[in-house]
Amino acid sequence: MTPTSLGDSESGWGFILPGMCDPLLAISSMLLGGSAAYVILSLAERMRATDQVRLKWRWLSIGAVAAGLEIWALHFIGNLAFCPQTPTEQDLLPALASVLSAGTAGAVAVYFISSYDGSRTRLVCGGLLMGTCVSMVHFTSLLAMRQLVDLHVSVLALVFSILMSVALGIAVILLGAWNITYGGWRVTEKASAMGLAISGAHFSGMIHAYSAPVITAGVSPPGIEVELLAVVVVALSSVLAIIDRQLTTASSLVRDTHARMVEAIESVPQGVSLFDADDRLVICNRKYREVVSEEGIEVQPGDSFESIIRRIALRGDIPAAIGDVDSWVNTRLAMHRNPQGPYIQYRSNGEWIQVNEKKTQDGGVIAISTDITELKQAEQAAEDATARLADSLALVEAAKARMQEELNVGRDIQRSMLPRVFPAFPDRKELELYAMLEPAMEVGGDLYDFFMVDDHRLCFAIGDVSGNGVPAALFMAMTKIMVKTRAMSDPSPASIITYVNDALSADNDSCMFVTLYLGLLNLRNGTLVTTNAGHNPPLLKRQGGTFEWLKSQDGPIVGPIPGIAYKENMIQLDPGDELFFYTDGVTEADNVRRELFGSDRLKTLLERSGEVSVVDRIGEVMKAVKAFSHGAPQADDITMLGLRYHGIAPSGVEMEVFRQTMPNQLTAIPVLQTAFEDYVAQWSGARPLIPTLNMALDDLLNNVVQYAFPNDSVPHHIVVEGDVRDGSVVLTITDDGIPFNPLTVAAPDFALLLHEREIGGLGIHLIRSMFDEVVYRRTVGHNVLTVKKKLASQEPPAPKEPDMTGIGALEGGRMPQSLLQDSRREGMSVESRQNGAVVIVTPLERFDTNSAPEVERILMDHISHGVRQLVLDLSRISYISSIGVRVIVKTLMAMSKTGGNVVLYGGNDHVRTVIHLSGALMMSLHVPTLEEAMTKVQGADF
Amino acid sequence: MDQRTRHTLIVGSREDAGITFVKMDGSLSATTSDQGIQEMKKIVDAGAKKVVVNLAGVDYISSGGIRVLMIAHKQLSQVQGEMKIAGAKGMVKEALEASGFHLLNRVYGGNIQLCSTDEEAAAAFKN
Repeated sequence: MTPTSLGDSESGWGFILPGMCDPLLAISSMLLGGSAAYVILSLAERMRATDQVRLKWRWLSIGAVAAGLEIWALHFIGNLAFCPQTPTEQDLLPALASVLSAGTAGAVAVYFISSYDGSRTRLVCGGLLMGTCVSMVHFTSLLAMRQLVDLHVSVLALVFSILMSVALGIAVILLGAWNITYGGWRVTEKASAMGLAISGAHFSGMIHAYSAPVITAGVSPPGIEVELLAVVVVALSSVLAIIDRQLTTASSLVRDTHARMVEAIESVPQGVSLFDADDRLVICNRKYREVVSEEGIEVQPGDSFESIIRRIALRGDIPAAIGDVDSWVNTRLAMHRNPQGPYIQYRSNGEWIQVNEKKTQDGGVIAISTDITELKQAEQAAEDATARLADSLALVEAAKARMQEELNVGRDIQRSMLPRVFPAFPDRKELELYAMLEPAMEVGGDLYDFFMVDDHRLCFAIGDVSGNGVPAALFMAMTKIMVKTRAMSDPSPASIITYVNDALSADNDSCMFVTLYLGLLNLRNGTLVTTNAGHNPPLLKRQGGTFEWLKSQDGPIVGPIPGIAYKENMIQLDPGDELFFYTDGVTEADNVRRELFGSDRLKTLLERSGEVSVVDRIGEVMKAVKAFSHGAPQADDITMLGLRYHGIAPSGVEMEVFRQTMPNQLTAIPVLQTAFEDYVAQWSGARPLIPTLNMALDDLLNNVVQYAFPNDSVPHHIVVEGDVRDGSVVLTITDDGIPFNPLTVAAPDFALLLHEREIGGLGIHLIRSMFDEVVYRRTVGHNVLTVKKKLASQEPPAPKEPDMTGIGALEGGRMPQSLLQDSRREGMSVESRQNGAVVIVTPLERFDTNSAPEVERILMDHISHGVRQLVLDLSRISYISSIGVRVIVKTLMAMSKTGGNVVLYGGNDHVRTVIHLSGALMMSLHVPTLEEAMTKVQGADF
Repeated sequence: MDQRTRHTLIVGSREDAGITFVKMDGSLSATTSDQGIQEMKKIVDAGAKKVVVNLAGVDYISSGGIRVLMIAHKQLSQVQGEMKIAGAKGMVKEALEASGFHLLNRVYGGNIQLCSTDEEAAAAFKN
């Protein structure tokens, strides 16, 4: 080994002696230089590659330690190589300082190489720092060597050395950066080149230290330790290089993985971003970048999450943040730091972004942003559709409610059609009546009704229309109105139902029908006339008796079939009798076991209910039906009507209504007339009407007997009813003969009267003229003729027509006694007497159906015996009917053939009225007195 | 009573010597009346003139059910057909009688008639 001086302060670097160099140590030193360079490059490269601050720090510190140690070792060995003879003992402190400086130099090298971005300032700074550190290494390591000789340091050489070090540092950084950025070389090749550069630089840099060597001979170097140390250091460096090689492989694996990961996240359509525990962006894909970046500001790894979101908020991307960016950012940050679930963000451009954030194991956050705009739009469309649906639903609901409302109105109308005020007739002591209807649906098909037709006749009805609902309700309403309208003018239930059936069956294609039970009860005498048209049989309970079915049937259901003639039945009710009517809603009520309530159960129930009011009876049945059904839905309307007849209240008048039946024999007429006279005579105001009523009875009954029963040998009954009330007399004649409406017979032609033919229609003409109302009705199987005449007022009645004949008022029956000679009674009802050539014939009492044949016979007898002057004395009859008038007409016709004369005289008001109404000819033959009659009949004015 | 039958109606028909025998089972109520009307219409539309409706299998009839028979009869009379009702029993018979069905004979001269059996009904046709 050649001693070399470490420096010579006196001679400067002019005294440069080439040092003696231990070649082994020199090579070791150079290897170490390469090794250090390798470490620096490798670590700088890794540091640059990673995005994680923590990793950067790790690589930096490792670089500092490894490169530092090697740099120091490089110098140490280098020093040894140059001055092997110097003792190797070292001062601890400067040695440590030199190690630290070496470490700092390594760190500086790694940092500046890894972060080199072309900036000159950074390069110079790095070079300065590194140069300083390297110089420090040199200086302190020399200082640490305890030399037996004084170390003379040339200041100039020192400065030069420092400058060299700085230049070296700059070169190292430049080279390293160039190596990493552009070099196609492998790391080992780069390191070899750099190591050569470093060692070369040292060689030149160390010259100053050896420029003035003071060789102190005689000191033997420690010897073997140095060589050993060199070998150990080189071996260590080699091991380090091998480990590093492995690390590099591993890290390249990591890098590959990382690259694959990048590729993977780039291929994901969603925006992917990863933030570290400090909320710094670690990695993201292009999609994320597109979303959060803007012109000029690319989002970079290392950007803080807050800065990213603040930026997009500030540029107005987030409608929710506009106006108050800070609070939105804070909220968003809180959510980011503690992600709970998907977060949906609406963007100003109309996009919907769903952000899924998840904490990673190291405290970072991975965020996946999905563009769910389409989904949102679909959702929105679905929501709109739902809203529209809800609107439609609301409309339907409204329509339903309106329909319900209308149904309710329908129900109200329908209900209001039924009489519902009870007691129905509080001032009617003769009647107890109650009815109820429990509808199964809103509008039902059952009906009941009751009303007074006049002051003593009650009409009631109960019915059930097929089906229920609106059609049934309409049908029910029609039925009810028709029945009531018809009943006001038709006294026969059979007739009413026949009429209603014909009316309903017109245009009834759907075969709707109604079962009907109709009754007309005369409250004065308890006569009940009923017609059951396909309805459930009612029950009758006689006073003190039990409920019994009224099984009669008078015809089929009403509505589907036209042209049915219904029958009717008469039941005489006595005081205390009770009737129970119902619809099949009662008997066909069923329970959950589908059993029917049934008619037997109903009858038993009615029996058991005992003597209770009609209201209570119906209440009991209703209760029993409900109990039986036991919550099963009511299938059909339930309707009941109860009626109890209490009889008429006693009154002073014995016989309020006249009702008598007679056989269809003309001879029965007088008996009936007498009875009716007795009835009418009860009212003094009605007595003056007796002749007129007798005439009407005679004419009408004659008509009936003669025309209603042609070729009929079966005896029939004619019902005559009379009633004096409300200032009128009403007379009704009912027969069951063939239909015959006398009112259709034309009024007689009075111009032809009495000459050409027998008169027809005179009777009806008289009745029409003398009564206030004449009505014919054909009910089922019956002719009903009703006449009505007002009672005369207290004043004497004025003549009905102006007296054209001058007959004037004449007291009936007034007859000069002198003329009553040769009078002989020729029969039951007529007298005749002779006065000269004049024969006077006097009908007695009545001149009607029964007396007319006899009067006619006598008159014809006189004429056939040559009598040519005939006086008909009408002063002794109480009334004359058209049959009497017809006898007069016949007499006139017979006499006119012989050229004789007939004169009429006398008669009460009634008789004179009839004569007046019988035409002008009849009137012209009539004179007031017998004297005038005698004169007239013998006179020449014929 | 079987819960099922109150709401079901089974209509079957067969033809024998020019007479269509219709057999109804179940219940002729408001629930089944529309079905009954349709089935009867089909039979009449198919050209049946003499129809015997056997109600032996019907255990309940309401006014709606009676309407089925009325409409069928009306359709039949439009094509000069005749209808007999056979086998009605129990409440069905009572209801038909209460509705006055047997009275219709007088009006229609036997065009609609209640008979006890199919045979009696078949014999009741005029020719």
